[in-house]
Amino acid sequence: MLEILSDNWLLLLVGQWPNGPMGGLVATVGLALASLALAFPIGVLLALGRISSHKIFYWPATAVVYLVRGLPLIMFIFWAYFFLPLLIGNSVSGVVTMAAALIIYEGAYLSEIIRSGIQALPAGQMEAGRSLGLSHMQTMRKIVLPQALYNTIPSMLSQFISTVKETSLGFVISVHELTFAAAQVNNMLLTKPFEVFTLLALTYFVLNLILTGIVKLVEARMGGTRTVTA
Amino acid sequence: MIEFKNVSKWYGDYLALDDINATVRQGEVLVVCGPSGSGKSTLIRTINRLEPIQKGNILVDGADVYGGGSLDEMRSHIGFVFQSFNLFPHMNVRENLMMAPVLLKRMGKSQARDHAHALLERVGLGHKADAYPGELSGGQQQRVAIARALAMKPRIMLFDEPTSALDPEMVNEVLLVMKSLAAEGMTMVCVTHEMNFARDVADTVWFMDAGRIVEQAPPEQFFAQAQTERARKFLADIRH
Repeated sequence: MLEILSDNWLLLLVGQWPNGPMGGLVATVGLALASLALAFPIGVLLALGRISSHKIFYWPATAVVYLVRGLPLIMFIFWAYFFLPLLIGNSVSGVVTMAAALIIYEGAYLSEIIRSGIQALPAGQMEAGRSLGLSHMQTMRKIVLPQALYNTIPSMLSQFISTVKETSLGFVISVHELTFAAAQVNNMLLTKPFEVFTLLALTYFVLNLILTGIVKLVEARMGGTRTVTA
Repeated sequence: MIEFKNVSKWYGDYLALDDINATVRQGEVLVVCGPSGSGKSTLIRTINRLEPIQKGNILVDGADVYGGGSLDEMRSHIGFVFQSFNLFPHMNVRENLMMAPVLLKRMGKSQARDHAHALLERVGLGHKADAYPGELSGGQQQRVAIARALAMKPRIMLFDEPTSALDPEMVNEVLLVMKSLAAEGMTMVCVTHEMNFARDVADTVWFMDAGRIVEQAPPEQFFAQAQTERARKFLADIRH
């Protein structure tokens, strides 16, 4: 197994780059990072819709969240794969397709995390802002969201770990990421699938173990600071 | 001036305010007391529309609180102090005081900063401008909360049980700030169980029971010869 790793580490790390698109582990992490970063504003907007008292915001946001959470990710990958090119009238690369599917999917999940963060704040924070004469949106922007988003950082990092694992589904539409690279290695070696896919599993596992450690560190650092008294 | 005209409020089937008719004069210091569940917190929260009402009108300086005017504008002239302080924990004390005046363009930044420092000096916390709310005692937090409300230069101050969440030794520092405000002629409505404060500072005491204002009297009269059995029992209970 070590031999497979020493022979193919570059392919597993960056795919065919610089002679082809960036792939491997770097593409996996990059795709997860970019998707979650772009899903974040969508998550905030959906969360605001979900807690809105206006039906025109509440119902669409709720419908999106329920729909996304009620369907497997691979449905969104298929939809993005077949309909995104029709929608924008151009062919779309696998990585963009995958990112599009992930952004919608993660946006819905992030929105529920953010919504719970907003609703976990004492109602007195909103009342205090409104009593000073701030509008609902001003209070959201200056008082509620800064606290809610800060408090949900650990949950959002956990969502990042899920996203890293979900990028492996990009394999079905030939996105050059870690699983795709491992499959390439497997196709070259032909006789060592057990070793190759154990190596793949270990790579995901170690990566996520490190990320989990980061989440724990962040949680420990956040503990006790900026808590609301009474 | 605050005028309640036939104000009724229900929580579902429960009648929380029952046809309130009363007036708070300009510069008056009013203490609202009564047993828990009598509607006093609900009453004070209707003045800046933190609670909807189902019947009647409330006029603040002639403007209908539940009418079509700008609610945010109206609220910015009414300071509200909460039982649980509700300081913004992600901002330091100075930022807590500066945020609303700057955001609502009442003051420039440097003017708001000077004003914030003057207010903090006034509540005895000039040295805490850089502290975060989580680093302050309850009494200090409540004094900051009063200063934050004053930062908008309100015409009226509402206090909803401002000392009820405090340890006994911190009650006085908050009451002293409230007394100094009263001495300056601020119009104040205070829901409180601090009967000594009522006796020393209030112009009028309202005693509430079951959603009604049962008695309205100057404090000396209310404490010496309450008119209703319910008020006499309340006074006897809180003295023990």
